[in-house]
Amino acid sequence: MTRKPLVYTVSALLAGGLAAGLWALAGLPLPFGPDPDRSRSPTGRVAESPQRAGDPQAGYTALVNQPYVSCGMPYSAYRRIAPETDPAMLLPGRTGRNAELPYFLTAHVNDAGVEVVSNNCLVCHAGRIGDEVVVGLGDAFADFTTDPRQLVTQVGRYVQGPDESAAWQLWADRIDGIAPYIQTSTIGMNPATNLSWALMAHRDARTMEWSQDPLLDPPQNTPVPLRTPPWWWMGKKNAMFYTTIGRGDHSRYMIFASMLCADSVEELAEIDSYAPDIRAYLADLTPPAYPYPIDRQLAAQGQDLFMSECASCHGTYGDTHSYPNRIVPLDEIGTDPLYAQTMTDGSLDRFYDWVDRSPHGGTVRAAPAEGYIAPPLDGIWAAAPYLHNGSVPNLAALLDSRLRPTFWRHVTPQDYDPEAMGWRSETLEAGKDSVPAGTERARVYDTTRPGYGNSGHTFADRLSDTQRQALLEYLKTL
Amino acid sequence: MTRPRLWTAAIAAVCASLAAGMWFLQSDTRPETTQTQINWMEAMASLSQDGFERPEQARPLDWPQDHAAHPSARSEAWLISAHLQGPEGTPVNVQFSMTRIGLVPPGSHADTAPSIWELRDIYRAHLIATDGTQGIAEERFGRGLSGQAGFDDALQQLHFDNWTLTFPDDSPTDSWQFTATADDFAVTLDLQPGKTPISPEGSDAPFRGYAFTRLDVTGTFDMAGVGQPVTGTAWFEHAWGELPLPGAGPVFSDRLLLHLDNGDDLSVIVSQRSDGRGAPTVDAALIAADGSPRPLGGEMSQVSFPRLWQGAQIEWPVVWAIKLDDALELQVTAVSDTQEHAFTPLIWSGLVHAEGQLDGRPVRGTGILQLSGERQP
Repeated sequence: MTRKPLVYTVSALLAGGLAAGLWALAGLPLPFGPDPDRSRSPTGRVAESPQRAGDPQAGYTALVNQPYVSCGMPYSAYRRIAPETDPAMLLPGRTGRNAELPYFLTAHVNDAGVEVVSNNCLVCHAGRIGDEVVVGLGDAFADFTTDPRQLVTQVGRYVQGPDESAAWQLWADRIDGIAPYIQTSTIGMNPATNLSWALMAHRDARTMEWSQDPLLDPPQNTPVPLRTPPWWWMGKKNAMFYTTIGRGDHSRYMIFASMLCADSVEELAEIDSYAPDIRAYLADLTPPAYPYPIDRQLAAQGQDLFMSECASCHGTYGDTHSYPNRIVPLDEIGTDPLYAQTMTDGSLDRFYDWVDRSPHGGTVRAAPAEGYIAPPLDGIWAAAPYLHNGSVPNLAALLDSRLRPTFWRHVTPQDYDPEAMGWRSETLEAGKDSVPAGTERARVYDTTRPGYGNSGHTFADRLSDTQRQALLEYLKTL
Repeated sequence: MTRPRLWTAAIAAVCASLAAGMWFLQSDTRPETTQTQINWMEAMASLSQDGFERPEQARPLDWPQDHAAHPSARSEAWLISAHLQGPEGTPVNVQFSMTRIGLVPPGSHADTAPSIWELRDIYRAHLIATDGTQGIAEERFGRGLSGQAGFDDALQQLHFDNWTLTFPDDSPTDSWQFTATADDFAVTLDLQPGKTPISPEGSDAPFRGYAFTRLDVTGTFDMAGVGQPVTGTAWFEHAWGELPLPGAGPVFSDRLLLHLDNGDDLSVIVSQRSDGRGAPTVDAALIAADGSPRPLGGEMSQVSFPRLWQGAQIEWPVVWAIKLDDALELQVTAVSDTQEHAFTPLIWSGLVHAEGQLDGRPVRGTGILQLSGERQP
């Protein structure tokens, strides 16, 4: 009761946004509720926001060595279920124990002296092309369709002693808290957005203290399907994620990925000390070159088409490149609307408010637009499957909507199709309902399911086959 | 693509049964019912001893050789459970499990011939038998000296005193024999494998293992001087390597083994945190009549416990309601609530019946439920 008058006084004295920022410093819910205007962005151009400078080389070192996800499984238990590391899973530049761990795991010793192994960012943001692990490539084959608690239990059977048990219990508590919200139905889909909401629901925004019971209404159980975009687009983008929800200091927005385990403002601050370096590394990332032959003459023809048909949204490439940072409204792009609508229909505003109240409120802001950013196309050949929901398996189908399969799955083992430009896939006669539950069903991409639609982005349908072929050839050069 | 989930289910299945086999290691105070006195604390300490080998995963398993002990492995467990009927339809269950803990790895005293008196392994065996109205449950511990307990390679026989499980030589058609006697009790069973064994090959697990999930059984069952012929089915498992140490960590598991009347066999493991927090996890696999495994519970699994029975210290979940994916729905009920056994620690392990639907068709089953004594009283 004593706070309310103060709020009104401050609100009367200061502009709304500033008031919200000050209130956030106190870590309290906004007294007037989430402000839809503050937590929405218009479609059209995204304005640039200043980013802190960083050292890209130090950023890589931090990315692959620092324990920014600080809870996990005891190393001794991990090694019992995974005694050896496939050499193809190793990355250069890793130090100490990390040098012998797969690229997606990082080790550190906790305060009780227990060596703990945790997932790092590369669990989603690295993928294989041939024999190489490519940092920054969203993993199109990452499998989040199973209950993560089963892995936790499996590891738990090999945990011994009170200190190891305590480390395991911390990790198990967190996984138990988020497990209902991060199980996707299709391999390749990423639940990170829903994970963020679930973590915010369990954390006090001001202190970052974890609550096993949610403090906010948790998100819906089913994640909206999303394809992990490549990191090497970040250097060009003025806001993060498909709806440009991530506004302000990108490195601080990324730190929210540490919320699984970061239990204090101090721990966040420690991660923040090297976060600008990681962001600088990501901004410097370049995509892998197309590894197959390119018809340069045909590609030149395709470039002319690209400039007239695509560049106004996707930018230009080469020495004098440009990128318009343009959000295309849903009615113009026509792709599956569920994600953008879910982000802007008010059902998630409590989490945008949480961002404002968090220690990073004022420097970051959650403000999605009702549309999708037209992404840069650097390394687009490797970014299959396409659209924000990964509903189109290859670029040939992206440029000709008549080729898009309603039901499909990737063939295994993973194999690149240089003609269609995507991971090789096969068209199916029927969707998920026709397949028994289990891994085989999880492999089926069913575009009739909510959020999985493959409509929209039909701009190239009007081109001739020859023109589309030229355009595809040019896209290989980006 | 199917391997990881099959692997998980199979691993979990083996883990749980082995966990059951190694319960006795969790406490340093043992009751006086053990027939052989062992320095258990010394045994526990020895478990961290180096020199044992992690089983080679690439080697194809080979029977009957792999029925035998694997002394280079630190720990090893065998389990057989027979689900039988007497002439009047009386439900009968016989369980025999045996666990070996290696104390001295092979070759560690290469400079001197090992003494027959040297303590190299310790053994524990359980025998449980019931005909629904009466039963016996006996636990034995031994050092494996002088042929008291262990695997006799010459006889192809797993034995603990007068409890023996004998495997045939190389003949795939010969039956196995199980015999056991105790006070006022004797059983003789002939067991004929009905399915090819399953094994989680290609995994990174720290142990190897396999299961013959269905053997056809005939025999005689003599309880309190009343003998009767019995017929039915049995389930056999064997694993060796670095097995989880129950009670040492934060997870315990309950196990359900069922033979269904459509020819399928079902293994369900429900794992829970010892601290009582978190949601139970379920690993399940259905082994079809042709021996092919089918993991269940990937998309949706629900196991609830509609009825508890208060034992001496623990409330045991003696009725289970199971829903796995959209394929299997079962109600599992103990034939008798009072199948608690004063082993170390206390456990509940006994005969159950099941009824429900599999892939839309009615199904019934018989098997055992093994409930961990690591749960909080």
